[in-house]
Amino acid sequence: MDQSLLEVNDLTKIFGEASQKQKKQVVALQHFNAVISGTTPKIITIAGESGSGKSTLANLILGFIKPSFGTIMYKGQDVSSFDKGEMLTYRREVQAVFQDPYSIYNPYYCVEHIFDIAMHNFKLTDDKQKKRDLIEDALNLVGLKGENVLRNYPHQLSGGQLQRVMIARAYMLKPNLIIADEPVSMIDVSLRAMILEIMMKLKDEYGISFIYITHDFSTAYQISDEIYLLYHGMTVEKGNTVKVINNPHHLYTKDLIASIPTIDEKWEGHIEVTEDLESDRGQLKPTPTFMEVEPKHWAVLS
Amino acid sequence: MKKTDFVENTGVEVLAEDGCKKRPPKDNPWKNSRLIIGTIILGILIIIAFVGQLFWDKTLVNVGSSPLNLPPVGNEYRDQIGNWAHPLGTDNSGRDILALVLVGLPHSLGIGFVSATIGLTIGIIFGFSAGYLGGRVDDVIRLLSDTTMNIPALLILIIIQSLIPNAGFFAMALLLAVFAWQSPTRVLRAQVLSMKHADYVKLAQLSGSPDQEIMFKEMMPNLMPFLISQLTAGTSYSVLILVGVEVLGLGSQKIPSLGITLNNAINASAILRGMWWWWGIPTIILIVVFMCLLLITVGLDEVSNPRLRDH
Repeated sequence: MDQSLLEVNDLTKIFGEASQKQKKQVVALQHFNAVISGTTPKIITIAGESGSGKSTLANLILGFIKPSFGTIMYKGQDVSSFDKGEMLTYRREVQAVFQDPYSIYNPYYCVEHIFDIAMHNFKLTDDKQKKRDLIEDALNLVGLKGENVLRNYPHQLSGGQLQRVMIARAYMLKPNLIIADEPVSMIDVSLRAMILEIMMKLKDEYGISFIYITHDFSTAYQISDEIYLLYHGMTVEKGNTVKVINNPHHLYTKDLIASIPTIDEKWEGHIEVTEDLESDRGQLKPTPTFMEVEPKHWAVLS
Repeated sequence: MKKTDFVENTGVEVLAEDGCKKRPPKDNPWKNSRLIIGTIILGILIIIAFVGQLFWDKTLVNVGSSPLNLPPVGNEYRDQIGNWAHPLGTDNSGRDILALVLVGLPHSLGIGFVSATIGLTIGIIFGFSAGYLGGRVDDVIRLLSDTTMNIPALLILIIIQSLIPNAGFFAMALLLAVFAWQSPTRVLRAQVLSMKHADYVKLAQLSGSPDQEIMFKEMMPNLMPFLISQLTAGTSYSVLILVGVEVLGLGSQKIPSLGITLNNAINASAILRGMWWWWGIPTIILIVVFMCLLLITVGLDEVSNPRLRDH
């Protein structure tokens, strides 16, 4: 049997629980299930509006916050049971690229710093020449040269350069999975394609899977294999990206996809979220039942 | 405050040179007038004190080393005319005021600085742990600092000083440090709390950096101007308490200091006797020192908090 790389079961995160009783509870993510295969690398899109739980999911997988219940299994082992050494391995193998390339760099240090701390903590190599080769190799992959970026301070580089350096850093660590939390939303359109191409290349040539978090359907359509649509923390539709986007079934997905403006016609529609759907916000609900609407395409039918 | 002269002048110059609008050169926050003036005056005072000690006879601080009740140069007091042998005059026990100032100023400032450094070091360790680690550690540190913060330092020091009358330099600095760590702890905790969620901290966590490296290598360098301003504010606070204790007559009588000189002047009713130089000169020096420390603190605050800047 093919061992899964990452398996997420019934993952739920409720904010404002336990000690803060008066505080209103907010269910940021609920009953999230997903499997990433260990043999065939994939790009999986997590899409949804702001506040739908996309970034909560990223933070949960990266271990920045703990799940309220549900498990994250990495190579068949529960992430929450990892000891220090295992956690360090997990940290190296599951990397991330964040949304804002300007705030991710410590303004006090040169860009080189992010490579140095990763090298040092993960003990990649002690040899100076080897270090330089590793960094140079990673930077070349994203179309940059070490001499042009490494000795610069973050504010001296453009957003596109900074984001590519981020990807180079993630690549240098030879991870199995990269969580890309809206990696292109702050980058101008001309550089967007370049970053997406690098992601595709990393997937195809180096076998790195991606969890691509976005609210942008066109880029998701372009690069991803599977898509999960989140609505108020709930998965409402999932499956093959092409099938889901071409043939949406859930009411919310339909609205969302219909709202994408196209370049050749004037957008006449308007988004109206029905009262019914809005009142659900932030409440824990029973596990949703998915209907298979067509092969490799499931939806919660309301 | 209005725009500083610095910016206005450059703006005008650039305009006159090119005849067209040009952006003024990038403002350097470190070049704010308060910081510069405070540092220069305090620097001059400290240099004078140390250089002066080389050229002026330090034994003149001893009782009976000089004529009694001599006024400063050019003044007359009870048939005595001030002369250059004792330019700032002498007190009623024959101590030279200039020598007292030269020896006393570095002493008082030194104790204040050492105690503020100790206090800040404790504050950094506690503040960073409380803010970054949170949970129980935070609870304990907050409880400790909040409760001890409300104890009036002067009161406790008066009691301790009456038990240990002749505390030396480091003993005194340590005593003062007991009251100097709470404020930096609280302020740093707040700073760390807001910085903890910065993206670069996240990245360091992803890079496997241990907590202490994130605290002291990622966060602390960005707080540098803030830390220095805490140090000067702490120094000023410690010197104030030190002088307060000494004026009450509880400091070590072995080492001459500005506070002890004031205490002697009060005991000898220098004000009633019209010996203004005896209490006036140390007071003016203390005022200048406090103003310099305040200017430096405010100036550094401007560096670390852009919202306080003039424009």
